[in-house]
Amino acid sequence: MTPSVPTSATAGAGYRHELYPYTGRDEFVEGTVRFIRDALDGGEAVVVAVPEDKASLLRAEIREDGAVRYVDTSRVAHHPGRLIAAWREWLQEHASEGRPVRGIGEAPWDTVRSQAEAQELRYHEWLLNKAFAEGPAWWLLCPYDLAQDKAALAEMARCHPEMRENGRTVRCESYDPQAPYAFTPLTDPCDPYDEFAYTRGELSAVREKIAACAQQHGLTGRRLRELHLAATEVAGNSIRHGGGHGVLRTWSEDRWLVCEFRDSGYIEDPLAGRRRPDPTQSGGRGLWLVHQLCDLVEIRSTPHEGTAIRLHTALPE
Amino acid sequence: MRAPRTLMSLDEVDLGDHICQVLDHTDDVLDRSRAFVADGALHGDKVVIVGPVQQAESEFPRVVLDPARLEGSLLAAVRREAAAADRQGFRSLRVLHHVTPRCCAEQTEELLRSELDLEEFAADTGALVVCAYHGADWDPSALQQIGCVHPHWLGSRPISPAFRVFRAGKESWAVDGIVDSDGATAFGAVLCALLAQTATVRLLCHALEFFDASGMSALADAVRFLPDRKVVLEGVNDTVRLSWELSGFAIPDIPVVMTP
Repeated sequence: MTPSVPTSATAGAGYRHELYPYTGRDEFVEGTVRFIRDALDGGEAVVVAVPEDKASLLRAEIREDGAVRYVDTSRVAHHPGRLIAAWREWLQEHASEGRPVRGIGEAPWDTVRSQAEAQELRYHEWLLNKAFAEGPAWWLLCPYDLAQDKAALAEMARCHPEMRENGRTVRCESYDPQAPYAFTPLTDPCDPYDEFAYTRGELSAVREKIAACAQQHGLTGRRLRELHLAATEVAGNSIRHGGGHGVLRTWSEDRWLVCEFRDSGYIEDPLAGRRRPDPTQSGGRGLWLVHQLCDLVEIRSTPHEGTAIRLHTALPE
Repeated sequence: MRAPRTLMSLDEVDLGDHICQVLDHTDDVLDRSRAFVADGALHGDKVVIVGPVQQAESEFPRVVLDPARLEGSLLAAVRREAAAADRQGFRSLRVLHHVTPRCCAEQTEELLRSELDLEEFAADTGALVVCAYHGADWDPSALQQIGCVHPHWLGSRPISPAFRVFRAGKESWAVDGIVDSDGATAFGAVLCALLAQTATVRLLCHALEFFDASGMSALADAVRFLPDRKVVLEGVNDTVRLSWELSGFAIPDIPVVMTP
């Protein structure tokens, strides 16, 4: 369900998504505080969704009140697949008094746990444009610390229609709203990996294969049950929508257990699984649950090459 | 609580068992009936054979109930027989139900209801009920669905459904096994049948190994299907409870209570 959020007074029509490259804490504070003050001067509310160390810098300048809300991002910050639904909820809650809303959102770039997570966080930035293209209208500023990875700025610019430069908003020339997202190819599975071809009636066998791999790496109990549930949804989609069969690969990579599912189906909607399901809707909960239950989800799908979905689960220390 | 199990032969049956037996085309109904009558005599049980078994009727005229000629429901008839068996000093009642297909769309739904009645009857009275299905006469998916409401199975190729729903006491039912997309439709049908009979269904889930999103959708749809109904699931693990909430089902419009 799309929340009813009033149009930002300064946003013009539609959703604005602006990248704010900065260097160091002072520049972060300077740019974001100015953005908040401009919003307050225009009678707008602001949702701040940044890592706690950055939030504390801003709180020292602008205290939380009815107009400015600092949200706890700890449950979603490292799970890019959960962020769009989180933003919808934050906006809906904060727009309850009828004010236009702005947002400040920064991913925890300095604590990302893997290259795959960083890639998915950038993809999330690109998906935000799709997610809010039809409304509600609001203005999101995305601070990005150039000290982290200057080379990734070009990739970030491809995900944002606008960028803040020297205090001015300019268009990102590399952003193309019509172009598909330019994914980095998935890495090869780590050796050794196990492979299992599954078809109808073999969901239990899929779970057994995953359990065998998980238990080798000490993954049991609740986390294994959650992975089983997510894996069943993905494998079930292969059977129902992906040509009736698929291939499971499992391996461990650093501190992660990775389960990869490949089939010949095509997921047309890049936002599949990123919207909270309506209780009355029939089906359509599978990928949503997958994003909620797994630490990280990578989905690659094209009409010609089919679909590959990787579920990453953190292994116990 | 009764434990689901697979039997190798009728020699292993026990009082209170509700057995699904799938017969091969070589199995002879009359032979089966004779053996069943003989076993009943051996154990001091009153025997009832249910089915349009004309030859059996001539051989054992006092034990055959033809469903087409019953006054009232099958459940009412076997309850009367159980009460009579008790009065007449038999150990228990032993029912062999030769189930034959009928040509109507509601067949599986009606049969599911009837089998749940017999399951409740067997568990509550200690009667032994064997439901014999000729495999060749039945659609495999219908047989699988029917198999889900029998805690016990018998036959050269016994049905082994992914989950089983069975009576677990005077006021409750139990589910064990796996409810995933392969069995969600059957699970929903069983729940609808139970909810059609009672306002609150108490379902013990301590032996439910796996319950996925399609099973949860089936549960939500079933409880919404009829007004003023409620399902209470006990022994539900934290993953299922979390997934139920994440799926958006934990709302007053879907009266389901899940407890650990």
